[in-house]
Amino acid sequence: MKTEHETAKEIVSLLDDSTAILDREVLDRLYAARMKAVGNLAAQKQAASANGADGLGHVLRLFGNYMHQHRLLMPTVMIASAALVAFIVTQQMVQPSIEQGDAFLLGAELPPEAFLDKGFDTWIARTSQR
Amino acid sequence: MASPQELSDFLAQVERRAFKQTAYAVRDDHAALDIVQDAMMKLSEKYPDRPVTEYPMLFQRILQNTMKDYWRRQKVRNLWTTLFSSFGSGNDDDDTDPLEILGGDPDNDSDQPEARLQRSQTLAIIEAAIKKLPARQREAFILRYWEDMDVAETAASMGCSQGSVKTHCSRAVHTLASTLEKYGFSKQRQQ
Repeated sequence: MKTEHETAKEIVSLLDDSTAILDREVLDRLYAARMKAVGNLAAQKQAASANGADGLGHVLRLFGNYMHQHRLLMPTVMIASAALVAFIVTQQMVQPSIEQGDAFLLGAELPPEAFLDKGFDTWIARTSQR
Repeated sequence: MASPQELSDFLAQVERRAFKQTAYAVRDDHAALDIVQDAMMKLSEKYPDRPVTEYPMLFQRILQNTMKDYWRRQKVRNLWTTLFSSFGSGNDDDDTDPLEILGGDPDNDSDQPEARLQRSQTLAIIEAAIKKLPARQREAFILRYWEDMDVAETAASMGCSQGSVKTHCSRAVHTLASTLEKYGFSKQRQQ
């Protein structure tokens, strides 16, 4: 008399024997299926590692895409920069002449109002000719 | 994460049992090979990041689901065949006589020793009896005793309670033991 577990194990032992006498055709097909599955896993792992190595490329590509989508941005920034530089240079050139004019007015014997009178130049030219 | 070598080793270890188990269920070697191949591919495609220790459970689950898909397709095909064919053969009947299987023993060679012949005959009886088991009982028996899973693992793999697994296993073993007894093998002790 055997227990349920013993009976089951005896049956399983017989079933194990049955796997040892499979046809060559069956074994070949099982081998081919296994190789296909293993090849599939290897390909997936290779693809995953390739993607990992390309991480920096993705960042650069992302930046490149951004620049490509905003290609009008760069000329606009360059024109604005040139205008700013021109304004600053102009300001630098105009500033000394203003300072020189102020110094002339302050150092002159005549009052500043005299230079605002439009007839003053004519009068002084006529007076100097006499 | 399992390496290709680990997957290869695992599949080499289980592929024969998987084939036999599937062949018992679908009763067609070519269909069984297709199902096992599908299950192998699904395991490698869908679970490449899982550790190899999880593979036995995953593979069994995939195999059982692939078998169920096969049965569903067969059911639909049989329905259409029944509806449109006037040649109802009635071959879908599950009442296969084990004695018929015995008569077709592939390993019955007169050159083999007597013990080997008797063992192969016993195997044929058992295989026929396993094929006749209800699907859930066969699944529970194979997972629990052939795949050597414990009750909890078997229950998880089958998607049922541990009590159901015990019931299915017990009934399956009793049926198989009764079959063996019918052919003159020793009796099982009641627990």
